[in-house]
Amino acid sequence: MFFIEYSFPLMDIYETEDSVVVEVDLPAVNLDDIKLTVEGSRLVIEGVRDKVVTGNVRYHVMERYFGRFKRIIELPFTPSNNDIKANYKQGVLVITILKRTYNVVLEG
Amino acid sequence: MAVVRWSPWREIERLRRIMEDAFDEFLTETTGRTKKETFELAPPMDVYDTGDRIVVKVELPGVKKEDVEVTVKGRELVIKGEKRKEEEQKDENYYCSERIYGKFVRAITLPVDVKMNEIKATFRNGVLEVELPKVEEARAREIKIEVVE
Repeated sequence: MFFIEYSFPLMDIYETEDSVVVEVDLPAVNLDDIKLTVEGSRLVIEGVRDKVVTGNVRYHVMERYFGRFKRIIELPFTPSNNDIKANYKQGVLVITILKRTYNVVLEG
Repeated sequence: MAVVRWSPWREIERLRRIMEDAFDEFLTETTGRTKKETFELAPPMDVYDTGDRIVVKVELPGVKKEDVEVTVKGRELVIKGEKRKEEEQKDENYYCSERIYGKFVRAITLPVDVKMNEIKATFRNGVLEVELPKVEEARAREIKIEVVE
């Protein structure tokens, strides 16, 4: 597709009571090839997806995207390191960022 | 609200979606069917020929194994199923919703006859891979030409 580099990988971002969840469709990637970084409130997902086809083959249909990808997400707050969890299951990368609630004590 | 760098292609993509929605709405009105029934997803796939078999790979991240159906009838291979949302979130809780859920179908006509009882399908890391060995007669082979004096 023409604009594939901007639409790969596709993701959903939603908020629950206690966290912000990012779900990214990333089928067939090696975890070593994905880099997840946070700088301030900016979350960056980048990496590379390599084609794993061995030997001489002849393609009939070629629609899947391979190569480098990068998505930048501006979070509504700055998370601390141990508040971010990420796991990969069935080709979906799920990043959960905990929201911290501080109770402000009223004086007087 | 998320801040995303402006890109002209994203605008075109947005336009494409708006047009798609308009078509969906039009089809719903004229056919009386709901959007879900008129629209089926076509997940990206690769198909290649290794010489002795045809390999089909379809991207189905987040789809459960039991929600996928693979059938072969003659030379027609059909892969269909449904991508379901694991947990329903309220619309107002979304910052970004790009992934598409619902029914999907891909059908292809295989270029050769295949051995029906040796078809192998695996589903790993969100990719469905179907291997279809060709029947012996369909494999490329060299034919010796005898010279007759």
